[in-house]
Amino acid sequence: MKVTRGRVIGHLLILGGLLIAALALSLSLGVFDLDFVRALEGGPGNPHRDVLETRLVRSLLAIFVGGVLSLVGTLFQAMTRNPLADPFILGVSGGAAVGATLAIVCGVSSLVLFGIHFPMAPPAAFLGALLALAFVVRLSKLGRGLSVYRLLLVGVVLNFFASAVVMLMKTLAGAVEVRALLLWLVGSLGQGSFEEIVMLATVAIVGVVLSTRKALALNIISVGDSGASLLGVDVERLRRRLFILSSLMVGAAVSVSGLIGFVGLVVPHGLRQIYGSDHRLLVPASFLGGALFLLASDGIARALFPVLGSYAPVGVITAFVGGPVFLFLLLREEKKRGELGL
Amino acid sequence: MKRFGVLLSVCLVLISCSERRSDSPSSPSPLKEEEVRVVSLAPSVTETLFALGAGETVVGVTSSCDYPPEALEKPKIGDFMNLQLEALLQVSPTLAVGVKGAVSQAQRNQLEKTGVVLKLVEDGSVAEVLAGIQSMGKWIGKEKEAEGLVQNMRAQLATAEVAKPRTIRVLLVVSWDPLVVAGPGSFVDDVMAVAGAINVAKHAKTDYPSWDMEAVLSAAPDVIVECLMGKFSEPLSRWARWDSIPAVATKQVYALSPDLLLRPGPRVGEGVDALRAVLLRAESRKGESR
Repeated sequence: MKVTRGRVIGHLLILGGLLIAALALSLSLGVFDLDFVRALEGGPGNPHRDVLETRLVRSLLAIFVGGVLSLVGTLFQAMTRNPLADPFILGVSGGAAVGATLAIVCGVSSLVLFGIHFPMAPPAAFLGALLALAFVVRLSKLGRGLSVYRLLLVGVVLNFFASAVVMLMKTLAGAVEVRALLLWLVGSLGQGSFEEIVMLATVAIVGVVLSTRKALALNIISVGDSGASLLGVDVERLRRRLFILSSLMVGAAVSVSGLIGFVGLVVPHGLRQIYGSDHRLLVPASFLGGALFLLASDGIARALFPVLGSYAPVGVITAFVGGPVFLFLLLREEKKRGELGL
Repeated sequence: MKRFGVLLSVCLVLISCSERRSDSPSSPSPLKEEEVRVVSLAPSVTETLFALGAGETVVGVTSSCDYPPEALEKPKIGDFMNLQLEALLQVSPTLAVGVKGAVSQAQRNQLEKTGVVLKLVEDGSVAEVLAGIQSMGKWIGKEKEAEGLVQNMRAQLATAEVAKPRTIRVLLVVSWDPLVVAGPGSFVDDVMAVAGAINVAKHAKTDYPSWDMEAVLSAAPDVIVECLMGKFSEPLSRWARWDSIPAVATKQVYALSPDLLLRPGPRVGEGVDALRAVLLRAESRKGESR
């Protein structure tokens, strides 16, 4: 499929339109009987405005967290040439969660500089993600190039390790922190703040812009390292930079929402089926598609509230969708390798 | 190593069983008071045992038992949901007292094998707490003390009944993030009813439902009571963003001790009093504004 500038813009406009429609739907969905006209009236003590604000914060959180996780999934899949790579599966989200919870349990959840409170969970999550990613890449490269199964296995180990660390902190920390810590293990979009959305949006925009600029190089890399080097792409340097950028995005998302799995797996695959694998389109599209996916998952969680009487964490919904997709892809990959005699 | 441990514990169990069997025909009588060695399997049970003046007979507590302060010095036999059989046997108890929902069938079987008598109390409501105190008094030979304690608590609750607020709709928050509130069927829901509060989550489908802010906004409680464990900032500052909630608009957001309200023990009367004081304040305010 030939990708022209016009086609890219056309597809992105369609996805963007769908996202706006989903946002409108999400804003009008909920247990409260919301009157939009009254919500837009000013003045304190207006429940309609508060409800609209709550829904808006929640939806924006879903958009940015979903978009970022899906984008990182696309980047990981291109850089590792592994269709099953995803920040959750590789344990990078787990590393971020460990970083953030360590910061919280050790009581350094915010740093005061010049009278301004800086939350420390996002930078700690970023460091955790970066360390985990460095660990995964280093270990799976031992011997020879990045092996698909080795990468997955190291990710599995890392995830177990991360949940063990969180569980250890659960036994050491007080009781309520416990609930909050468990939340890290099943992601949720519970109570975001505008500050968190601004932080996430900034990271997301930087991430989308920088990785879209590297889209052509990603196309070359996904063919093979040696070919890419021949074509003048400094593979190691690009990989290093994109890994740091990905860690930054995962850290920002996880520090706000905890571990929401499989977004980075399901969405890029779905989009590749529709758009092919040209990263000039795939990279920005995976951000919009991920946003759409998580917004829809959150919509399901919220629509289930009157039935369940309780909110299912959105991570549960994405796992219900993502688990089967992962298995399907794994089996297909096996078959493909079998046919190629690998 | 593991096999050795299993073998050893099997031996220990056999030894303890055989001892019991050998001395049971000679002493079929109920346990004498000085012979009672009790382990408590729940914080509320520990509080009751101490309140009955049976602190010396307590030889083991869970790691969550933090009241009265003397309880902290007792040997630990694991935590509330996860008791360590070995640590329990180490203190050679004659009686283990726990709470019905918190002791699993597997733990019951384990205890049965060791010959430790296991007694369980119900703790789903204030009435069950009172009944539990009386049962515990019987088990440890402190019936009189138990009767006295229950009388006192009844008197305390009766005062609550006299000046009972009846119109205040309350949201009781047990966890901030994720937001978890007290629903129907929880112990604290009964405490709220006794104190005269109308629980805005009474139609929820579970005892501790997880809510989001929109659910709180549509429930529009008059008073918000937080019972959070751990350190938290001043509650009103956290809720100020949602100033259309009546409780926030009228500054009726309070933090009360989870130990008094959520723990089904002898201090529940104090919990009811504390909650009622908050409700009465809110009610008088509501009256003024009319």
